[in-house]
Amino acid sequence: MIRLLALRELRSLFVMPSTWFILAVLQFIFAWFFLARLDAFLEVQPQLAQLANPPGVTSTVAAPMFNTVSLLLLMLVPMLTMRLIAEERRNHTFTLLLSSPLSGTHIVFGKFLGLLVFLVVIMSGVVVMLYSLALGTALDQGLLLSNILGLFLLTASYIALGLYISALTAQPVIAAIGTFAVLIGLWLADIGAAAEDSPWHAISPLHHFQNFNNGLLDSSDAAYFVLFTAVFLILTVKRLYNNRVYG
Amino acid sequence: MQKIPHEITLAARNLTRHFGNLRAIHNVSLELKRGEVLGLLGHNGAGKTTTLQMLTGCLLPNGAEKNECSIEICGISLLRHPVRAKAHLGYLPEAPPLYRELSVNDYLSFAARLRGMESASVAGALTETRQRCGLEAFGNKIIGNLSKGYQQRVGIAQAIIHHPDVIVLDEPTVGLDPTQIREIRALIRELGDTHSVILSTHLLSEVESVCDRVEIMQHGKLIYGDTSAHMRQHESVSGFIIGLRNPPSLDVLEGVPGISHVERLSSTQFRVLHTPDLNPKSTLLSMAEQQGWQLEQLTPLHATLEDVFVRITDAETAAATGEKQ
Repeated sequence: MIRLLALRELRSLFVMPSTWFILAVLQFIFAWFFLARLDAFLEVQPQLAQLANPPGVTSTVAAPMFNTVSLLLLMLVPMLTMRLIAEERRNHTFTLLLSSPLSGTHIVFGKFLGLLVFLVVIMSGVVVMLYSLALGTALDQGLLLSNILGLFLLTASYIALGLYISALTAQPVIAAIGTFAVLIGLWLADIGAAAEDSPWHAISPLHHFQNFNNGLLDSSDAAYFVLFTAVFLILTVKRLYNNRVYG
Repeated sequence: MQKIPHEITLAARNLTRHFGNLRAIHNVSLELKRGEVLGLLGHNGAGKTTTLQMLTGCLLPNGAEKNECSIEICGISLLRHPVRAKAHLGYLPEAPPLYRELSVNDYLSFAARLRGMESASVAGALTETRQRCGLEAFGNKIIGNLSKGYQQRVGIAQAIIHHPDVIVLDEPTVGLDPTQIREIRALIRELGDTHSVILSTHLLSEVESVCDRVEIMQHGKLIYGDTSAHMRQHESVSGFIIGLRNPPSLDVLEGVPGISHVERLSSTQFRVLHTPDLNPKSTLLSMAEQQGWQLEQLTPLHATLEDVFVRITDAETAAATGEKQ
């Protein structure tokens, strides 16, 4: 059932021209940024070569690239999550799901996984670009994999948050703005806190992503993302149930 | 699956629903047997849609946790085992739940799979349902491009594609043209032979033509329930309209035994009311022949459901205001 719902999400996405447009524009932006970073790296490479322990291409091109993608996600995810439940409510299609033999968990996980797969498809473009560097040089596999894992967890947590906010309203635009506002708020909480050990850092997903970005695998960061995602998915299931109670 | 005729497919007891301080539904109990079409009739805002939403699990009735009410579909409690119970349901809400960006085929197969149909049997059900709903030529069309009437048909198709035991239709013929209305009514009638159908409407003609049984709702309560044939006879008048080209005076007609009231409609037409137990039709006919009244018309008076509906709801309103005072 979850798979069926996820496939329906994907099908609905891929029959819309706007989806293909978003895909094309994003790949263009990623490619542009990738080439710019690569260009900069090639320019400073002779000087870097004189250092005793020079930074490699992975940390000068790949890591900043992942960092940019994580910031782009901030804007991209609200645009995609707004559709998930709010738009189904507005188009009255949600009653089909509610009157079908599905539990709230099925609905929430189906939608979550459908969008996660879609975003993984988008992100895979970035990964392919970076792995194309392997044609000319050796890559730091550990740093790349830690970044890929971090980005995946970050995407999952953003989708869970967006899904919850989408379940709160019947207006997709409000869902998008709400999700965007919360994500920006979490980001600002991180960069706004001056002190290194400020508790504000702990609540921001982007702060936890920084460790992955630097190639540091910390189980507490991974646990944070898993908890963040689980909490919002559970809240969404609760919210769908409460909707039936309060109308 | 063995089908026992007249088995009860849907039983709802003591449904109550509040929205804030507004009491939308009060103590509604319904029962539906296999092979029966039940019409839920009422003014706008009487609570028909809310009732159907509760019957399909889209809305929980108040007191669901405290066992004050129950909804059973084919013997499975909708409140306790919603997933199993909903597999026996097909629901067309007020606004058809259509994914406008999908094609009719994709959408209907999704709806069938969603209701737990095996993927192997979906293709057969799809062909059958498209043919039943007159959508043969529209399989690959995008739903958003179809006209309102065809979208409504797709809505009905998604409600019946998985052969549910209970079909719930909320105003199924809204927005259709007269031919389509007739086709859809024939379809509902046909579905009613093998499934249980419950439909809400404010059109009395719909009830008259398709429903076996009627429940009338007003202000969130069921105020009257009977077979639709009985309902038509409810407090109905017995009488006929008689046309005589050469009529006698009113006194002569009123003197005929059994006639309680005569009213002159035009120079040649009279409305004759008589007592229910004694029908003076044959006496009148023989008198007309003997005395040369030249009979040209004799039409029995039929109380339409319309009259009965108005009478029942008016009586209920009067009773309610009487209680308050």
